[in-house]
Amino acid sequence: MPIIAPLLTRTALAAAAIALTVAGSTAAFAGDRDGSWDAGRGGPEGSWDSGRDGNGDGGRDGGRDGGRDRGRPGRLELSPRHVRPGTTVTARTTACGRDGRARGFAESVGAGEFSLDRAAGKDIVAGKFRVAHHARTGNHTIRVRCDNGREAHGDLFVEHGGPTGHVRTGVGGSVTPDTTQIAAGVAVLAAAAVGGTWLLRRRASGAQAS
Amino acid sequence: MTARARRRGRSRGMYGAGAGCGAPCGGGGGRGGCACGAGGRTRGGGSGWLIAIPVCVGIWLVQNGSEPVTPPMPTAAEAFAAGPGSHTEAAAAPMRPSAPVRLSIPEIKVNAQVLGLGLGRDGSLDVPPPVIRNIVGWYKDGATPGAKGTAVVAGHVDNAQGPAVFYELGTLKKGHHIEVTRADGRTAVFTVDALEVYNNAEFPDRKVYGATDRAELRVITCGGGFSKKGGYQGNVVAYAHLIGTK
Repeated sequence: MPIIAPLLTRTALAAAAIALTVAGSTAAFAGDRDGSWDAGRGGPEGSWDSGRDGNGDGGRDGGRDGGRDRGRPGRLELSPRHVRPGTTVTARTTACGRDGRARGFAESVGAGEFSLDRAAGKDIVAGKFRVAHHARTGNHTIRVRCDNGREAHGDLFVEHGGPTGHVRTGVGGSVTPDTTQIAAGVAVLAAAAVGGTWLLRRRASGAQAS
Repeated sequence: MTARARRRGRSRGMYGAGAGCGAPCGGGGGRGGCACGAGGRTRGGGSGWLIAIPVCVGIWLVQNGSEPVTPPMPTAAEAFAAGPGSHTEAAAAPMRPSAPVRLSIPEIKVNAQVLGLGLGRDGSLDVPPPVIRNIVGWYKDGATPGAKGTAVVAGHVDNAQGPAVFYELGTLKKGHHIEVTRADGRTAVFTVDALEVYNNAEFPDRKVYGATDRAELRVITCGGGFSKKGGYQGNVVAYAHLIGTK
C-alpha cells in the first residue's frame, strides 16, 4: 500500500502535465478534455462502442474525420480493451495518416510512454504497452499524439481480478504411515511372541513332568 | 456438493478400496471371522486366547498404521449454513490499510511471519517458499487484513519434509479467532465463519476471492484428499471476518 500512494501522485502529475500541454497548444480541446477526465467512465465508453461496429473501416473513417476536424481527437483502438494488470495491449489508430508516427501516453496504467510506428502497408500506426501490475482498477484514457499534431484517445478498463483457482500449498510430505502406531503394533506382536514361547515352554515342561 | 462429499475427518486409507476395514483380524469384533483366533481355539483353554488376541491387535495396529495419514479435514458442520455474509458475531468497522506482519491462530498453535505474494502465470496465487515450514503468504495486491475487502492468506499444509504451518487448519472451528499483526502496530482480530473444502477443478473463485464491503479474511491451504500422482485434490478455505482490533 505505501507504494501506491506515490504512484498515484505520479500518475496524477503525469495526467495533469499532459492535460496542460494539450490545453496550451490547442485551446479548443480544453472543454472536451476536462469532460473526458471528469466524466471519465461513461462518456468515452459510449463513443468507443459506437465506433466499434464498423471495425476496420469505421476506424479509418474516424481517422479521416480526425484529420478534417483538428479539434476532435481521433479514435485509438485498444486491443484488448478490458485487461488485467500485466497484460500487453496493442494500440492502433489511423489518426496520424499515411507514414505517420506517434507517441502514446499510458502513465495512468503505469506503462509510461510508448511509440507507435507505421504498420506495414497501411495508414495505421500501432504500438504496444504493458499494463503495470500496480495499475488501478477502473477506466483509463490512453492518449496518442501524432507527429502531425493530431491526437487519438482510447479507453482501457483495468480490473484486478485477484487470484483465480486453487493454491498449491502442499506436496504430500506429511502423508506418511503412522510410525507410532506401527511401532505399537510391533511391540504388541513381540510381546505376544515372547508370551507364546513362554506358554509353549511351560506346557512342554509340564508334559514332561507328568 | 461433491466437495462436501469428499469431506472426511482425519482420513486414512485414501488408497486402496476399503483398506482398514478389511484387516484379517478386523477390530470390528467379528469373533468367528478372526483368522488369527483359530490357533488359539484348537488349544482350548484360556491361555490360547491370551496369545491370539494380542497377535490380532498387533497385526491390526501395524496394518492400520501403514496406511498413510492425510491432514485433518473439517467436518461438514463447519461449512457455511447460509453462505458468506451471514455472520454470527457483529463485524467491526474496517481498519485503514496496513500490510500484515504476523498471523496467529492460537487454537492450532500457528504463529507465523507473513510474506507478500503476487500471482503466478496462470493467475493463481503464488505460494511462500515451501522450504520454510513456518511462513504464510498474503496476496499483496488485494486488501490488507483488517481493511475493507477480502484479504487472502495462503500457507502450506506440508512440504517434502513433513507437516507445515497450516497442517492443522482443517481442525479450526467456527468462532475460533485469527489474529493478524500489521505494520501499523495494530492487530486485527477475525472470527472464523466457516471452513469449506473444494475440489481443485471446482474452486469457487468469486466466493473465495470476491470483493466484500466489510473486512474479511480467507485462509487457504491444500487438502481434500491426496493421491500419489495428483497430489492434493483440493483446498481447505477458512472464511473469517473482522470483529475487533487490539
